[in-house]
Amino acid sequence: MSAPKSAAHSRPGTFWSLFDRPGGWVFVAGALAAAAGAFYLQWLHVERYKETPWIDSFVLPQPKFVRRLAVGYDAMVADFLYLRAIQAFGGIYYRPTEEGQKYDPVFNYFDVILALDPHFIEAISFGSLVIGDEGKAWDLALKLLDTGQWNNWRRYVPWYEAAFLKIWDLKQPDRDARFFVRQATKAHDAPEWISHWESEIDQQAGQFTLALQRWIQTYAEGVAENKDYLAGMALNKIHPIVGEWHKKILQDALDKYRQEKGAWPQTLQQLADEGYLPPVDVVDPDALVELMETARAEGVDLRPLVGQLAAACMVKKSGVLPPYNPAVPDDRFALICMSDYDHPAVGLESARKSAAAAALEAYRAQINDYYQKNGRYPDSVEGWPAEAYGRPLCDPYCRGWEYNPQTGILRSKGDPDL
Amino acid sequence: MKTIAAIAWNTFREAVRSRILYLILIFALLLMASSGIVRDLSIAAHDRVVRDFGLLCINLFGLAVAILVGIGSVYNELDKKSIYTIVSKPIARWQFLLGKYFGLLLTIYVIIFIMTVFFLMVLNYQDMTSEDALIQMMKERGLTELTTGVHLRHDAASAVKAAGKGFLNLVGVDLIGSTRHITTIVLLTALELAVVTAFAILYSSFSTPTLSAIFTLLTFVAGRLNESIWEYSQQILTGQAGAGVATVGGIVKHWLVVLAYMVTPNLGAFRVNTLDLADGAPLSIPWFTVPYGVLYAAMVLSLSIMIFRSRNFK
Repeated sequence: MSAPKSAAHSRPGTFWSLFDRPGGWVFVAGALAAAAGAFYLQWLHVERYKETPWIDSFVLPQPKFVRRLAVGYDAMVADFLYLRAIQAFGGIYYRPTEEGQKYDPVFNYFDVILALDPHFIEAISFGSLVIGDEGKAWDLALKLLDTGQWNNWRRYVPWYEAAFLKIWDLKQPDRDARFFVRQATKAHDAPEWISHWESEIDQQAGQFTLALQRWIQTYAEGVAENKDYLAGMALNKIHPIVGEWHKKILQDALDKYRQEKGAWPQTLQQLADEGYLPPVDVVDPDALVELMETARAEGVDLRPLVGQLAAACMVKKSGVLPPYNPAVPDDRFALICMSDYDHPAVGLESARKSAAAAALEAYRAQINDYYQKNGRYPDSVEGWPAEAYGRPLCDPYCRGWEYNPQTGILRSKGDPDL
Repeated sequence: MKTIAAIAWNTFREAVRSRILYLILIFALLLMASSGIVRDLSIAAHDRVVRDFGLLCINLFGLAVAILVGIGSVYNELDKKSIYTIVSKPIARWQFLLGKYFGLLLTIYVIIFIMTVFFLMVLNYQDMTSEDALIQMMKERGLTELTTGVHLRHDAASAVKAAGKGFLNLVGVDLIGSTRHITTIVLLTALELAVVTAFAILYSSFSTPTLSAIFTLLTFVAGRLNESIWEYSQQILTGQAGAGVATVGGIVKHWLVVLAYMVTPNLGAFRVNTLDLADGAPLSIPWFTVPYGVLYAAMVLSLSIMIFRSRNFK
């Protein structure tokens, strides 16, 4: 006959009966320790994944094999890979180091996604954004878009994305860019504004008269069709185009000066004084805008008059234009913004690069000099007077300098490769 | 006909007593209900991700039912010796097999029907509570930004409304973008599963449940990759043309692969072209898709009947 059980003891077979004996406590403690260890190790795995958010893209099989492995569930597998690509992008985007911000491997996901479902428009659009716009891997982005275009030629998105990369990111107003815009315009789902990108191409390509005429045409159509937003958009484009036109004139003059003299002029005045800014025909944007608005107010149909409008506002200008001052309405014709940097090359891409390189060279020489004298790099270069210039040198890209006091490395944020 | 219907009805009643069927159904419904999580993970392709996820559930769980219930349907009768009672009655073996087949199909279709209705409800509910719906509501009220009291209703009333719309969608009424082609795609899935179930019956008529499951699954995979088999046959020809030599071995290999292509079911025929879904255009389904599915299932069932007729039940 067994002894009666203590009331404190739990019913045998239940979970709580484990604690009736010391061994039970040890067992439970061991189980908890094992669980804690397992979770900790699992967490280490998570940390490892965070380090390399795109690493699994390297082990993705070739697209044709993934298609087989999907066993007909192509669309769903493409969706899962798309979600994974989004996660990888997020992981890369928040990576603190520059080395970690590599977007190229994400291309592998999109390559497979398009093999599984070549009509996955959202993936094409997002892939081009990640690889091209964010990752600056233009060739890969255009390759992805090429696949998207030929499988979705009736949709505007792949053409539009390619045109966007070409016009806004690569600044290549070439025949490809024009082709992409035209294809996008032809698509049944294309928004109306896409066709106006051709004006942007003309503007970038230096075809300012043509770009102006296109916008005047758009304005005329906007007025005729009572589309105020279209007319307003066109009107807003007149000044920037003329501004670009001026910059081009100035750039040509600067290039010619440098070619002949072997150095940049110190000031714009010097450029004008030495005869590099002869009188040239340009459109007076104020006169043009006024003419367009007057014609609209009088109810004139501008559509047949597009070519004549620009010609009527053509004026000859030469010399240095006064600084842009938005407070003076009549002063809007001066379009070279030099207020933040007094080197004449500012605002012109090729010259901007040279100016940045020169500034970096001066700064780096001083940083090295500082290191030689003090045995360490300076804590900051903000407001550092450059001996050669007697004042701080601004980044011509207007994005500031990136300086690491540990390594003494100084870079331009606008062009980190310099 | 009555005999087949009676067997089919009994098979259905027997199948719905199976716990595994309910487990599959509950699991599928839970997955579909949680598709909102997948939706939130996506950028831009929200409707597409949820649609594909739901269709995957319907297809996969339908397949699971076809395999798990179908493989044992004939074998169990033999194993439990209940076949003796059946064949001793004036019931032909082909009637028995067809009854089993249609009973199984009925079970699968009921499951698919429940999943589809639930899925349409989920899609409608998500549509009613999406960002787009919020923007639409703001437009209707003339609001340019969110203010206190402006929100979408996540409540029972919305769920009931979504349920009602789900039933209407089933018959092609009140369709929204994400539910537009669902019924057609599900009907094609049903046809595909009719062919797979016919194979499950075929294998079950001469094999054990485990082997039947493996055979059915492999047939499904081969059927889904049928297009790849054809591509391979063409690759052999291209390879020979590239080499400039047509060997006898190469030609034989080519024709053997073509034969493999011909005997495996083309389950890819029951899939919808994603271009149509992306374009929002009417689905372009070849006219011979349905006759193909019906004839193929009939062919496999005929083979099952021939095998089953010659079986000795001792």
